[in-house]
Amino acid sequence: MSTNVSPKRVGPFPFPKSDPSKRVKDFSEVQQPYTMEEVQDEAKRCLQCGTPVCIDACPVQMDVRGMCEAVSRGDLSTAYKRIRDTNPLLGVTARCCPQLQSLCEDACVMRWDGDPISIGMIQRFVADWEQRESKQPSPEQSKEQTGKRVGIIGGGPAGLAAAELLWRYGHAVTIYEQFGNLGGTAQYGIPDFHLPKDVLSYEIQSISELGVATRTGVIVGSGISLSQLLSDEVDAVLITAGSKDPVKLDTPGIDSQGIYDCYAFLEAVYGKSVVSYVANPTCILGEKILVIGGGDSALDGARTAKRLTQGSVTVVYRRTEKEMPSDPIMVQEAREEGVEFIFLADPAEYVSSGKRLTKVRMNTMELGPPDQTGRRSPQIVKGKDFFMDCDSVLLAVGRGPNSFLQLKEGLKTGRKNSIAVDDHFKTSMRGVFAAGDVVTGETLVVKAMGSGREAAQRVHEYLMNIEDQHISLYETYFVRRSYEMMQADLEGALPPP
Amino acid sequence: MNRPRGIAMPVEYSVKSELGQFSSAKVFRDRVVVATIQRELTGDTLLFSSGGDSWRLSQRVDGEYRPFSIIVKTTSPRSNSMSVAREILKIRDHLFFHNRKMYMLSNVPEGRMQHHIHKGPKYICRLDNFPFEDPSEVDSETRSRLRRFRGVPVGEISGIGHDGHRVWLENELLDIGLPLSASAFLLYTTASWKIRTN
Repeated sequence: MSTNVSPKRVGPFPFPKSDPSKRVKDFSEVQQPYTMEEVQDEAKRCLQCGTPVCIDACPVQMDVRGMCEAVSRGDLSTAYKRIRDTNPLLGVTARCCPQLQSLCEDACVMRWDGDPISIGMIQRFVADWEQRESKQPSPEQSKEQTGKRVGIIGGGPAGLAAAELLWRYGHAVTIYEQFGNLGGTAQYGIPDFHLPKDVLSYEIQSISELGVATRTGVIVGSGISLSQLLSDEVDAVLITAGSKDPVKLDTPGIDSQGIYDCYAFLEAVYGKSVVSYVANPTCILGEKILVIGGGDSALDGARTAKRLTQGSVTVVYRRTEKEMPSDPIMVQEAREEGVEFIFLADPAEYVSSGKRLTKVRMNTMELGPPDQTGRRSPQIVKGKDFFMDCDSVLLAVGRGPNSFLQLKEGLKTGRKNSIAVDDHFKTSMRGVFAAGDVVTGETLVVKAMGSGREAAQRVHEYLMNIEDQHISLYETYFVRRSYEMMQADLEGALPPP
Repeated sequence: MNRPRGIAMPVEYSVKSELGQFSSAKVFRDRVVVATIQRELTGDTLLFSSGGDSWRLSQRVDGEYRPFSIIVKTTSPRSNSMSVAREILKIRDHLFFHNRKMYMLSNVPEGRMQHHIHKGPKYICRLDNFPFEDPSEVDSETRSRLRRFRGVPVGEISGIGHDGHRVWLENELLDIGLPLSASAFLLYTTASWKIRTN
């Protein structure tokens, strides 16, 4: 153990949580905030590394080191300014990022000898302080308006992050959103017990107030075509339509009543409000619910179903817990709330009485040779199938990119009908760019935001005819975020990106 | 120095910087100094071995600065000329290709729980079935899912720079052991500028 570092986090690992027996009966937030004293103590543990690997690991290059330095002095205003510069969804990402999963806290050098800095908790404290106690100035726009107009199709995290950066470059930005509210996955797919809607709404409103125009209820490719949009309304288009297409399964009995797409279920519950869903539920869950899948959405669905029914909820995953792609912290929280897990099992047949699902015949699986990801692939163990009684099933086996627009408009596509782009985020249609989940498939909110920001920079370079002068955002901040600059308090002199 | 866990690996490097020192470090093998690391004002880093070899390490990979990426090229210690430089290692987004095999730094080995990586060492793993042969060719979808990939552990890294960043390697990485150890130090745990004492 090092003699030079304070190894322990201030709060219980991974963060303070509300009582499971109480929280499972409502949709209140699980994660509980630090106090001012705790957050300062935690920020003081930061070593202020010469090369801040936490920033390297952040897809939006958030100035974690600068935040910790300012918070340790109690200067929340400076901390906010530093991290808000590259991250317009501070409160959202503080809560939704799995910081210990290949992100900032995993990269933190403190993890070698002790506990990594609780970056997410510090970030959350600063964001909440700004929202609830002390509204801070918005980031600055370039002094000169470019006169260029950009349309962003899809108002999810990637679109919002891109919209803000394009606005800061001096362009007129309009977001075209299919649904009634902006936010995408953060609005419709993340449970309130992870992300209270007031946090998301506040940050969306802050972006809108900058001057980013919004047109909700517009489906580009249906009411208006991409080429019409380009010829009549904007000079460039950035598509950030996210992921939406459910994976189609051909398991016998898959059409039985009582089998629901988990993503559609989450959208139904959280799309408007939990209260309105409870008043008018669209899924008849019953008391025995099976959730098929091992990702974060499966756990979100299971924990939502538990809260709604107080019944028996079991997550069924075809590999073992070691291969689960979900955040282990979420698995632990789900267990605390009474969600059960069955591993090495996979539905073979959905059995109905009449049309209504009554049980599922499960294959027992075993792990075979590694697949392309290096994880051992699940294989059926013959003669070991078994039945599980249930009233309903939630399928959370992954989502593909939202393929509507590219198929409708004939854009070149890649795997699973994602939009194919080059290294400059350009699609096969001139003036049309794409980023986020619609290109990469379903990923993290913060990764979609990072992709959106990078694409926004490429759109800006295209519009201003300065593509040969490209310097990556990482390099921009790699240089700008020098320790000397921070210590000399020269950051204020930095121009907008 | 004893390895904290895992199977025995034959090669051990330790990279150590002075307390609060950021611009230079020493590389030890079996407690003997075998190289020094010197950071330049340009942001590049020079690695000088005791045997007289030298390398230039730069985070500018495939045309631009990238996180968790480094390129190592041979250079002459006298002229620093890049005209005769030969690339001996390219790491991009934790991935590097060596002797026809893909490797990943900071990977979770197959069969281990993810939460094992929350504390303690990180692993260098060989990705046997990886669908690409050049880190620069990896598509955006695969790149966005790198944390799902699991490999066979052939190296282990641990420790903060000023305490001694330790790198254990299997024989298959021995020929790039020195530049790989220096790269691991630079990418994952450089010296700290400000060290607080208890």
